[in-house]
Amino acid sequence: MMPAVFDALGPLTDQVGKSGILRLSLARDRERTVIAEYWRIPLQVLPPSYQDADDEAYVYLLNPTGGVVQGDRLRTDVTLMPGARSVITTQSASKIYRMDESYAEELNRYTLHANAVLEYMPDQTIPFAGSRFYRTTRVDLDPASTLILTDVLAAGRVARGERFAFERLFVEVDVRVGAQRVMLDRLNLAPADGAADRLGLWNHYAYYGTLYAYSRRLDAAVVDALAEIVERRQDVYGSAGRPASGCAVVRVLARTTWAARETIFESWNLLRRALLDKPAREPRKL
Amino acid sequence: MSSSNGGVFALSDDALQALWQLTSGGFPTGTFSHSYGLETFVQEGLVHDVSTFGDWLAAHLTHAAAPTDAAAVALANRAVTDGDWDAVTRIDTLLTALKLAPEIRTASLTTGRAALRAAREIFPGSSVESYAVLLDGRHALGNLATVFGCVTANLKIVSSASALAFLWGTASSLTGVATRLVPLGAVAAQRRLRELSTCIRDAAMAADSLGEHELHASAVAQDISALRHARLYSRLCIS
Repeated sequence: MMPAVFDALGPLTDQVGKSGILRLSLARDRERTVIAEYWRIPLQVLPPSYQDADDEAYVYLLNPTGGVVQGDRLRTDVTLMPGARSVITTQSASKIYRMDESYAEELNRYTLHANAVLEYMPDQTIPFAGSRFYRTTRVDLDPASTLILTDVLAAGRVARGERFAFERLFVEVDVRVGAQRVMLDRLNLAPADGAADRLGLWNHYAYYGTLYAYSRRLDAAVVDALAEIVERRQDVYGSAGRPASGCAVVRVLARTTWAARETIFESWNLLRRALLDKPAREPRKL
Repeated sequence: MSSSNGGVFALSDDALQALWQLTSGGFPTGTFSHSYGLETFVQEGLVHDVSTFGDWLAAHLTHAAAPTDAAAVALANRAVTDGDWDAVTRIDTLLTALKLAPEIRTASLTTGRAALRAAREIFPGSSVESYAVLLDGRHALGNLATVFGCVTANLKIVSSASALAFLWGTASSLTGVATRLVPLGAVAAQRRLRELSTCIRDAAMAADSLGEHELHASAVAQDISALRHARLYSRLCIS
């Protein structure tokens, strides 16, 4: 169901924008995680690579049109079958272009079966001046699966001095374990309704990163260690917490994309060592 | 929407007195010991006077308290009025999931359960008892906003007035907390609260219009400060 503020702009139809679909099923096949099935138009997925030299598949999602424009409806559905393990990332930042009348929507759904591992770390999202964007990412987890999900947002094209010039940004992450909603994050920003560039909202920072994690193995000591490494950094304003058993959230505000990304990467690295017994590596860009 | 002079609702004398009582500092919920991250901002020097506190409070009400708690008050109030108890438990779960900072999640449940215990004695009624049964059976969680919506529905107070009272109560409580923490002069702090009356009214009316799929929390830096609160060297407040 769409928020009323988007419904008021009228329905998205086939006349404007593109309808992109990607359906992907990842399965464990002996020593590797492979793409068992996929169906797509015009969104693309590259053949997996194995950058940790183990069974975990590095999968790149691409939007061949290079950005999101007015009227786009993008839908990604990914299922990880029992024991499948995957790092899913993108090839470049998601640029959300100016929209004169309508808006664009991106619906992501991830389903993890028992002992599946998903590390979903897309590049940052950059909402350009005048853009209107709705994105929901729903993750359904088996209690015995593992999730690490990151999201980095820019206030705009910051290098050109463009901050909070987008019209509306509604970004939702909805994490469920079994049928139970455990973490729900919804950011709804419309700079015209009041400055976002102020105390309490973004505190004059230009980049915002979040990491959400779930695993039965994720205990309070790991979350304490996460909070410690994030709070120790002088170049960001951030911390971490444990909203429910097995869950962790890291939030960080930063002046540069580099500082936001590095904080998220350090958090990922700590979690990866604790939950998957291996260090993180920056996914190679192709 | 209201005109500049009038309001959007007429309340009975009894309803008004009930709302005053529910939102007074003397009502035993324990909200006065929660700062919702404000204490972190005070220790970090980001809130240090009446002006910076006013900015913090306006951001908190508009982007955190209204679109989560006040909206949940209104939704719960309407669900109870309609006898839709499935919706009440769904709203409770939704609200807890939206609170990602552990201290904020816990604060809502601790103060909510205290409010329910008090309300069963002070404002007894079938809706309050029905909710208590759901809580005992672990179908409901006991968030403060859900309890507040149940109590006002039981008193036949409409959702918009309930949301407004809740939000004003939040603002008033936080003004008291800031007066002690910063510290601020009592008159100056109360004047700032009074100056926010239009902001509070607008935020409450916006909250009353939100559906379950629209509840949100966008005060990112305040959420981070609530996370950082757990690791402050010395703390006067629980959250």
